[in-house]
Amino acid sequence: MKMPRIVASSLLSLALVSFGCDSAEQTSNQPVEPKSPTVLEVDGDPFLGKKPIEQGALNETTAHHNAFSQVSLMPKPPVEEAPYRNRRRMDLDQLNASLKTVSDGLEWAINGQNQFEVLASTLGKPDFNTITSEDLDPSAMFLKFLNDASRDICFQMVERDLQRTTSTRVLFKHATPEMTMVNNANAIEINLVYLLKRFHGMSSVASCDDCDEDTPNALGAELQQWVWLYQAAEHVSSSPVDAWRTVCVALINHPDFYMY
Amino acid sequence: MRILFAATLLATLVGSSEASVPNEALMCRPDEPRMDKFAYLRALSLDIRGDVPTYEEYAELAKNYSDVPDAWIENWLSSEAFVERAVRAHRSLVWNNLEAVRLGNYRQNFRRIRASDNSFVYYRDRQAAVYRHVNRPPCDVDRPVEYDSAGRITTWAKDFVRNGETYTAQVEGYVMVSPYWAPNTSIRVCAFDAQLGDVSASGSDCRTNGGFNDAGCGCGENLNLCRYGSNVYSERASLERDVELRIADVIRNNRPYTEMFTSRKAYVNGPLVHFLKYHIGFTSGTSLEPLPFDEANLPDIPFTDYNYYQIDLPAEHAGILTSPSFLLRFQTNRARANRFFDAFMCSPPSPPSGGLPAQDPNARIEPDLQLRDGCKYCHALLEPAAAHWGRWTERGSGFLSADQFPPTRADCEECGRTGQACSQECRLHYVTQAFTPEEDQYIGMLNAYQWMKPSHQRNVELGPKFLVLTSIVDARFPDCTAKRALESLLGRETNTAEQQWIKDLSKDFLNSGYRYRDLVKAIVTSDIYRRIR
Repeated sequence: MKMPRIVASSLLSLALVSFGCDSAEQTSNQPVEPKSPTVLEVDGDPFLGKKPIEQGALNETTAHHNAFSQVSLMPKPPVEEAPYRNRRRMDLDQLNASLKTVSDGLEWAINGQNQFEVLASTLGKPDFNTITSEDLDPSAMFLKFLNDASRDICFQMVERDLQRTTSTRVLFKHATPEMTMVNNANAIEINLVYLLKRFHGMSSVASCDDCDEDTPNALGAELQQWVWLYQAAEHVSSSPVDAWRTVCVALINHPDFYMY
Repeated sequence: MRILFAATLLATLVGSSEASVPNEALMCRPDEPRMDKFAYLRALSLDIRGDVPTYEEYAELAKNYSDVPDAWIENWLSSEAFVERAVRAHRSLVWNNLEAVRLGNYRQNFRRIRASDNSFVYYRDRQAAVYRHVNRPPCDVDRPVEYDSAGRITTWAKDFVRNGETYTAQVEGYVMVSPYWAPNTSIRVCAFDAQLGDVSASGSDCRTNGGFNDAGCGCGENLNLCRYGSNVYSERASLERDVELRIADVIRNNRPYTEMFTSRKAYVNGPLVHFLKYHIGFTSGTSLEPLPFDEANLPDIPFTDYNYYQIDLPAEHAGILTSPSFLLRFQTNRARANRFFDAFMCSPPSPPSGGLPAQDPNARIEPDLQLRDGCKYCHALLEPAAAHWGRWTERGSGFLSADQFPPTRADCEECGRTGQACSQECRLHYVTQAFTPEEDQYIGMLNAYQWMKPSHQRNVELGPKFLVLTSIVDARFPDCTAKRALESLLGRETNTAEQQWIKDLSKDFLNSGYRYRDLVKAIVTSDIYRRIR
């Protein structure tokens, strides 16, 4: 996990500093032979003042600040990072097409006008007349309109699903609008797994090649977040339909949907 | 010993911290540096098709494959969706937008006004002063046209009220016409505006701006010479689409990428053909004349045919670099060369990295930009490169053929040196004035030859295609194409450590016969593409 690694590295740093580890010891394990002490005075140093400094194994890479610590004068060589692809935000055309695909053909339109086209310049799509480069930052502006789009599409999806037969539904594929966590938790979980695959391409389920809707528990903690969201929404609204709409909006607003 | 102790303590702390982190399950999981097959499928699908995979595709991948099959990638790269994505990517290179370009002339444009019976009557308000000797009034919208015994349109006095004041104009009646933009309808048009004929009784050419000042010129048969409503802008959209179709043709048919800059194919639809046949003589700043191909090559299609048809162009054309859209988007030869150097050679002309050296304020200003202090760093490169477009008109997209526009013309030199009135051709395309003694030697020469060194003069005659071919030979073009594709797919700029990879991609690109699909496939199947951060 990311956070424990950060905690670990911080603690490692802390531990090394606390216990006076120095780079010479780390690299060679050779004890530093104290030489006949030569007292140096450092003028103007706010920490050392005129404290004596033992001139030991001073060379171009190490120096003693006092009798008890030694620091490297050379920075650690940078860790060479393997080349990579930037995780990035979908452009508006990708987002529009992807929303259509996951919602089975629905689009964010008002009065028949696709809003991603209407808002193209606001959302950073270049027109190559006044704007020549595309802004793909997941900015607050982008997230605001993504939220609008998700609510519009999820409302449409719910309304449409309620008119459809079970086999052609998208949001209520494996759980009917009547099922709740109390009366059919298993169906809820299976449906959540299905939606995670449909919206996020299972990218939220690391190395889960064998996962499918029959084995939702294999998703573990990842799924539990979504179960928790569904449960909370159902609890607050007392309506499975509203809970699924909430899940739908969350799936679209999740970075796993609009970043790749 | 100290290290061992520290490590023991650390292990204890880490262990306890992991156990004590609240809501650990709700934390973001760490990035997987290498995408699993599902994330890889999703990235491939979005980059190649512009869409996420379907649920069925994920399911098939999960059940039948250990990794994304090569056949899927091939299939997607052959799809129309990839063509669209490639065209989209190239928009950012050619900046294909003519919104700021005005084609035709506003005096061609119709307005409409309601008659007493509520039907519309069409007229050109800006021509009213020519026809009715008063600004803006239409004809008598409630009375049909009348002719005298000689067949001339008769007029009568009619009062109009504007801004509270009453004034009188001599007006004509209306006629019924089937306009070219809606040939199955019949509309009322003021009779002077609907006059037929390409030449007026007094000899004015009604197909040019000159016809606007002659009351004997109208809009011709089916109102072909005038415009109304959205068709005012349809030729701009058609010209933009022409460029995209040229790019799409190369990608769709997996033709060598270089054909994008050497091809002689173009695409026209009904609105564009109509514009090229009837409106090209009307200008307001930009001109498509002299038309760079034989008008007889245009298909015989009506304005309402919105399908695109391929036409073949003469040898001097250089793909998108001589397309009307590119030439009108970048209206000077310097702008054209600069865009090509920036987008396709990755080396825009630029001053030295340390900035320009201080100039002597008392020094004489050198008229040749290739030599002038402060200018020469860019213009020594830019001027010879711009000369490749020397036979393509600036502020337009016409072509100056060597037959009609030789490097020097005696009539242009004569008018330039004697002060006689120069012809329009001389004024527009030849040097007829010398502002400094150094420029005197160029009087009578085609504009593109001014300041050209003898070694660069051939650029004018060989055209943009020659520039492309030289950049292919010296590898700048394939290197830049590889770099652009790589940066587009990686979502970041490349760094110096990746130059060798770019070189390798460029070499493979060349070996594949400049197939863009192969280049994209090489990138998306690389380990680097799959490693994400």
